[in-house]
Amino acid sequence: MVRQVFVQVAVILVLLTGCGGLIQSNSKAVFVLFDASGTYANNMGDAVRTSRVLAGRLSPNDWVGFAQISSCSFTDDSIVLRRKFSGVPSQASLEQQRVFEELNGYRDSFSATAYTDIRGALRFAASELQASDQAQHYIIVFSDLIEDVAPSCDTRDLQLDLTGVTIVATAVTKTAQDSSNPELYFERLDSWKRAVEDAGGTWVHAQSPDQLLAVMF
Amino acid sequence: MGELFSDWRFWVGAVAAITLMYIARPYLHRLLRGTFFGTAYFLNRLANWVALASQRVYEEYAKKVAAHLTEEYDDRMRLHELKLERRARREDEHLMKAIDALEVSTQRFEGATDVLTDININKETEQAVRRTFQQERSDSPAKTSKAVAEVKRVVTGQIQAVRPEITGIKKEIKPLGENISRLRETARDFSRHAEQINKDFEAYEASVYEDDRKKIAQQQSILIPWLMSLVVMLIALGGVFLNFFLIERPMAEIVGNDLQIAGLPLPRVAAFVVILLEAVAGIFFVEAAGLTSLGWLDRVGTRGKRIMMAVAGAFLLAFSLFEAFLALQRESLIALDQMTQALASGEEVIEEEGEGGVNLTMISQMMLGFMIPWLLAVAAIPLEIFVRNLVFLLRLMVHQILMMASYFLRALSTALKTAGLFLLRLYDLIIFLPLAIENMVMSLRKSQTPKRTV
Repeated sequence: MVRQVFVQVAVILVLLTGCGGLIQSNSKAVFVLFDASGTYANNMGDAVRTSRVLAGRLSPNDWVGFAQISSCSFTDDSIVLRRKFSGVPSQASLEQQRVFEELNGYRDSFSATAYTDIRGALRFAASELQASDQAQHYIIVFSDLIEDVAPSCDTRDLQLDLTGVTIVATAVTKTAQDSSNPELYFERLDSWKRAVEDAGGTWVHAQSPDQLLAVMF
Repeated sequence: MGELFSDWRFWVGAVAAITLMYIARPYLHRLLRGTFFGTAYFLNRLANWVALASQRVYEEYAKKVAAHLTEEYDDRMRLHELKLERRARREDEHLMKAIDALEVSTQRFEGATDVLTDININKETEQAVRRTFQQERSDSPAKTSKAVAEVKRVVTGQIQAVRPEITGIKKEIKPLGENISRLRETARDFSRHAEQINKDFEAYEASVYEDDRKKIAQQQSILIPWLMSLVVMLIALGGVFLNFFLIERPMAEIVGNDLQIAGLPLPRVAAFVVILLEAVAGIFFVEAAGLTSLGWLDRVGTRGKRIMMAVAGAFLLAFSLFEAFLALQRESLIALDQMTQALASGEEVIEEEGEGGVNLTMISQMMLGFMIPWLLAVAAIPLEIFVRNLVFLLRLMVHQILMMASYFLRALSTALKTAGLFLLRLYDLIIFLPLAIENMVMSLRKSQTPKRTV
């Protein structure tokens, strides 16, 4: 009799433990960084288009933020918009449409910056993501990944904490120097990969928008 | 090779090996026997045990099938009884009507017969002729003509009196024929039903009293009803599968879309749960309606079953309306999603006037949505046959598998025994020379030993 009770309790416990693992949240928090420096400004149109598609594929209850990589990125002024979509799909769909409008507005009105503070932008994005309660955290970087810090905002030694964050570098353009020496391009990618992984994050390089969507969804 | 045979060391080694083998013969024989024959014996015992288990499984299967057959015939006999009761009541009324009609016809025939019997043409004509001759004294031809006319009048009068009776008889002939053929039809119908009842009763009796349960089980077809029910269920489930994708999107509006259960999105799981609930309501509905006999509602009685049927029917109706509502929502949600995707890829979106109303696609989806719960209820009817026969089939399969395993083990046992025997013979063949010498020595000794006289 006692044995039977024990067995029953064990079965219930196993089931409860199993159920705990069975239910998972698949909500995402995505922070998109646009490189607004002069070397990348020409690609802003494509970056915004890809971002719209990305935002359109997000689900209800997902969180999305957009900021630009500027001369000194760790500032609230760099934020373009941040929004948590409604849990009701039709409401979320309408909110996504408003996000598209705001992104289009940003694309038409942004002005190129003189320097490129990528670390500051990553730190800013990571801190924004930490505040969100979504299960998966992503930072999408539209940039040529050439760090060019301003003398007044030198963030080259900035410590990053990217634990639990997946950084997806996409549409990484090649400069004229890269064309003459392709190794520079791959070295740049490798150095950012090391930096991200040293900071506890996961590094993914998506060459095309399709790859980006495949990584995300 | 030639070098090997010409090498004296090879021959010395061979002789040594043969000698060793000869010395070790009893032990190695025992080892080979133990290994091969012992394993073969074990496998044979195992094969017997498996065959016995297979036999038991089949016996159990036969018992279950026979019991089911008895149950089925029991139900059928009850149904016959009910039908007979109802039919007897109805046929009784028909028979009484036909008999009444026949009685009426008989009475009319009797009346007509009386009237016809009362006619006496000879007497009446004779009287008419006499009257004429008594009145007319002369022998003129006018007298004869008058007599003839009088006879004609009398005969016509008699015939006129009989005509209604003849007409009545004519009228009665048709209903009489109809009633007779109805009685014949009823008799034929009864004998046909009686034959069917007798046949079923014989089968029922056989299923109850026949000692050979296997024979009874073999009479019952398991596979064909199972396949039929499978086909019906697959068709119904095909519709359900289609509906599953139709309601998934609108379900997201109700339950949200940010959770996954066992790797599946919550709206998909919710749609699945709705379909399962519809299936449960459908199963209860058909069970309460008496279309299946799963036995869940046996204790609640007829009134309870009626209540259950009403409740399950109400649930099915509610699910139908819910599905129709989801279908209505689905189109507008898809349009919204498509617009969002178009805007995301930078396409110009122009909203056309008149969009958003109820169109033909929406109506057909609503109709499909409304029908799905009832379709599931219909799919529940063959479910009983499907599940029950599946259990029978599984038993049969276990029996077959065990039987095959038994044959395999037996074959393996025989193969091992043969291989062991072959190895023993081969062993003896290798050491045939020392064995032959041993035999010769033994024979010589035997021949030298003096015979004892008793």
